[in-house]
Amino acid sequence: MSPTEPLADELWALVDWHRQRCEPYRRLLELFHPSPPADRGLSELPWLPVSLFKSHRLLSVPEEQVFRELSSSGTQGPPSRIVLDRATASAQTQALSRSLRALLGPARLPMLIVDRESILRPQGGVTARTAGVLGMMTFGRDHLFLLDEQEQPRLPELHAWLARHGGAPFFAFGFTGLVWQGLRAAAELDLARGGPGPDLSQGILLHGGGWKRLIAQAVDRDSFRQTLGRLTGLTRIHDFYGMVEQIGTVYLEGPDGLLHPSPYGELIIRDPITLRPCPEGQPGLVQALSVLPRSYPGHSLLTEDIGSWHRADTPRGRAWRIHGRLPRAEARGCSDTLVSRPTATSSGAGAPP
Amino acid sequence: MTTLTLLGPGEPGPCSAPALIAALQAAPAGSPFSPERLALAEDLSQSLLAHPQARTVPELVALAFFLRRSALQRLQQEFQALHTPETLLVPRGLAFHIPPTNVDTIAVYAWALSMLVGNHDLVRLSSRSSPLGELLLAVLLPVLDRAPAGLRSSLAFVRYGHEEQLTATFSAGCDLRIVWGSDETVRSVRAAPVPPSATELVFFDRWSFCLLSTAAWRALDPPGRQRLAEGLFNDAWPFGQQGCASPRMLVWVGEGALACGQELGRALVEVLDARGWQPDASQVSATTAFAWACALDLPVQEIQHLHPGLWLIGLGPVEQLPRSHPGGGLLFQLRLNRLQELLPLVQRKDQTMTCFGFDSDELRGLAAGLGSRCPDRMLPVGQALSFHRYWDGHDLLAALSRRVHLPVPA
Repeated sequence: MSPTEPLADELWALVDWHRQRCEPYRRLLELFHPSPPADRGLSELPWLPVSLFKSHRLLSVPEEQVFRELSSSGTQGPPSRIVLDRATASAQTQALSRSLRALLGPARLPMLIVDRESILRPQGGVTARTAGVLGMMTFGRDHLFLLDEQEQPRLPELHAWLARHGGAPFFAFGFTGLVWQGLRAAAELDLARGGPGPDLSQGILLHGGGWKRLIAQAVDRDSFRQTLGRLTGLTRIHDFYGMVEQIGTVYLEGPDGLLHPSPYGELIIRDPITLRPCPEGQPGLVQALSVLPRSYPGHSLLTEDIGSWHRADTPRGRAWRIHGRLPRAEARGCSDTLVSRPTATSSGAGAPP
Repeated sequence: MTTLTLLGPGEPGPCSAPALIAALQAAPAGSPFSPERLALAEDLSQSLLAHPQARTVPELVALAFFLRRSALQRLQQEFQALHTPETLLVPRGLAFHIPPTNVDTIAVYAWALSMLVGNHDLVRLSSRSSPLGELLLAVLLPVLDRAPAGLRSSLAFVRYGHEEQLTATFSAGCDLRIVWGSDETVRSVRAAPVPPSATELVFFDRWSFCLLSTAAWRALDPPGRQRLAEGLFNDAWPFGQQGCASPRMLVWVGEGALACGQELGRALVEVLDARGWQPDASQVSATTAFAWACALDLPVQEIQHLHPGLWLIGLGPVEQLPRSHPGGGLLFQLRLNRLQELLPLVQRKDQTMTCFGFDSDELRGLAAGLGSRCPDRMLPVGQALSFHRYWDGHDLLAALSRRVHLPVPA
């Protein structure tokens, strides 16, 4: 690892913090790390599989201090449950604010949200999409929700809003798939009606979330940027990486197209089979570190995302690329889906003796 | 528009379910272990071993061994031995096979036994297919085409999706229905009635474990330990450890189980390393997540992740065995002082108990103590996945036949 690991001490202190306050966490450390490592570096930090927050409600504060509970809108399996107290919620908001100011400047900008307004009133628990929109809204003003309830562009409202705010820098935000769909639909609809297409050239677009839908349509990063640029004039387009389990710790896309470090966190890329740290450029599982979570032990999580690290002009000389998610393990066996595959054995698996 | 496809024998293509059933029912009656039926099975065996790809796949080699000439002769003798002076076995008629969703060797084992005892067979393969299933079909279909016309006309391999109407038509026309699948699948198939005269064999969702004596383990020399580890590997690692018969737990009986488990763990690592075993990344992730959740949900005493494809999870005393499992080389370890302690833990769901270090009397005593909850198979380590005429509590040779009572010969 790099000789300077400014976050390592803070993160190891968090390990102790949670060990003392979260009984399940203490038990996990005892079982999986019976002997603590001699070196307290970043890559030695114990992690939890992020899926543990789907099956278990882990908290490091007394129940009465729970201030908010987030649940992610996971497309796979049950949602994650993240328990926040006031201190952690506020630390996360402040961290997000600091990260975004670097992108948006100190003033609150008018904000275009590529989503529908009803996302603020979720049915059931708070989803990552709602939490994301709500969290980001505090960094803008004069919000316009671009989409109607059918997730179709509200063109007249957009034109009216742009007439007021489109001449100076404004903030645009949305989840990657919706941004791709919503902004293109708005531009195409406008052109079809004989308009010039919406002028978003002053916009600073921040988009995050999965590329799954886009990759299925064979849309890559370059075509995403080029198409949106051509249709709307957007040039400042920034992807970000973050997760509901570590709100406030965001990795923003830099000019080099890589995701840049957060002051509050770090990513470690691990070989998906050996779980050892990967060399530069080699895709592996993302382990996400964050110094912010104190009300739940989410400071070091092994995700199911695939990423790689690359040399870059950043404090630790690293930046990342996220490639997608590990495919689900296929259920096999006699019960319904007996898919077998040739094993690596030469003698008979199942051969009679 | 028909969604039913005939794969073989004969020209593959769309076909009509009522016509197919009628043709199979009209085919000439078969007799058990007739020369042409034996020849068909042997042809499949030889074709598998001669096929450049199939012969490299352990599951297909095992199938070929099951059907080789000497094994068929033994099977025929065993079948003859089922006859008694006052009974005779005859075929049941048309068997309708519903194998697990993806075609696999297990479906072909069951079909082969049914064909050998003289039944007509309709085998339904699902529209989802695996590379192994396709390879097996590629070898099997030409073998079927080479069979004599009479026999050929009594067999059909078809493919269709979830069309309940087709399942209903075939069920209504069969004399024996053989269903493999999850409890869910079994329930949905049972919605389609079979005729009053028909019977049904059901192979439902099962769970398996391995019983080991610490004294016997300690008495083994290093090569013996290595052989046992190899056997356990052959039982647990194929099929992603998700076969019904794949052991998911090691139950140690006797003193010093903790040390025995550690020694066996090291021996397993050697086997995995020697074979260059590489689990797949998604499986590792699923198994890892499961192991961590286990630590919070079960009375886990120690966890050893000895290899990317091997987790050993030691449990303290439990009132029931954990029966959810992700596959991927995860073995629970349970430590008992006496064999008697196993009695309350075994359930009807438990299929295979591979054993090491227990003699036949001990196992018979255990079976007597367990009664109706007794596992269907109590076999030496290394034989978990070996198909046999005795499967899931049935003697397939007998179950696929009908027994006729007649006067004792003079």
